[in-house]
Amino acid sequence: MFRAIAVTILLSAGVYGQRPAPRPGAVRPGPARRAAVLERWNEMSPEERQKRLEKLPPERRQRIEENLERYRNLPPEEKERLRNRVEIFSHLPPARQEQARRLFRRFNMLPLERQQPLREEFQKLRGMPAGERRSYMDSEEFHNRYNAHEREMLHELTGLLSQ
Amino acid sequence: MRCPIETRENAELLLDYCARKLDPEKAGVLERHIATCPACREFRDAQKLLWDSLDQWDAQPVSPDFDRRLQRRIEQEEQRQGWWRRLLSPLLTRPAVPLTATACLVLAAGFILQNPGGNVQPVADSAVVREVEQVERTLDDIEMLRQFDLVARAEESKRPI
Repeated sequence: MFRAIAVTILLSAGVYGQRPAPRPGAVRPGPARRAAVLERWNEMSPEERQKRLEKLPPERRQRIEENLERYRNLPPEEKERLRNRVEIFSHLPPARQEQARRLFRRFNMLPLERQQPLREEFQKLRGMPAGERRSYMDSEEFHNRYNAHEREMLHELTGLLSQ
Repeated sequence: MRCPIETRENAELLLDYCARKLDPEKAGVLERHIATCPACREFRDAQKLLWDSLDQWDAQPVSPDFDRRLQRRIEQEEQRQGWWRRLLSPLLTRPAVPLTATACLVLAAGFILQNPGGNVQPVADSAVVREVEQVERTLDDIEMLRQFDLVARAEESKRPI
């Protein structure tokens, strides 16, 4: 009985602690609207932004502020390039978008020293023709360079490109 | 393997694993995932602590006249109780009442965790909440696409930059 209660409380804490999932049936913002809202936030005064974020848990608020600051500091052409990519990404099927987000969250859990090599490897794989990529990913060199989890992640990431 | 905590799928696998009820094959798959997932590792460690504490608890043996002495204590206690206590005692001894109370406690704990400041989100703020969620998601996507160019070149070339 006590075990069941403890497990239930632990699980409910996990469920409530997560960022809320989009409500079923909620209208997803179109790509153009997403960019417009982001630009409005980009031009907002810090006080206005604070007011909108003040009710969020500190950790979540800090993450949004950091991401926004990083975006604000990008050169204009890079901002434009990323807005364009977000627009293309937003047109992908929702399941594929969610798969990419889940992969990215998993990637962020990797040790920092492994993240850069994987990013570089992905860029390399992205530039390869599909056949060449497949044979390289089957090669001993590839198996020796990455552990099973990293290989699986690279397979899934490159799989997103070819879907 | 998909993360049971992140996807909320297969959560029972994680619980069964912690309770040592999982077969070796599934346990192996989960262990490989746990090795790379801090959230699952933290959950497993917390569960292990709980199970270890419960395992270490040993019930003391009862004395031969335990039942008789207990019955006498109950009778004495009943005589000392006030009328209100006797009135409520049938409710407290029914199994549904403690279970309902536990369910309420769990819901309240969840609600408090979601609203740490004790603020209930007014309906009028829902537009702001939606906007914050949009911005948060867009920024997350931008960060992801900044690090991983997941847009295939063929799709990219269809649109002017």
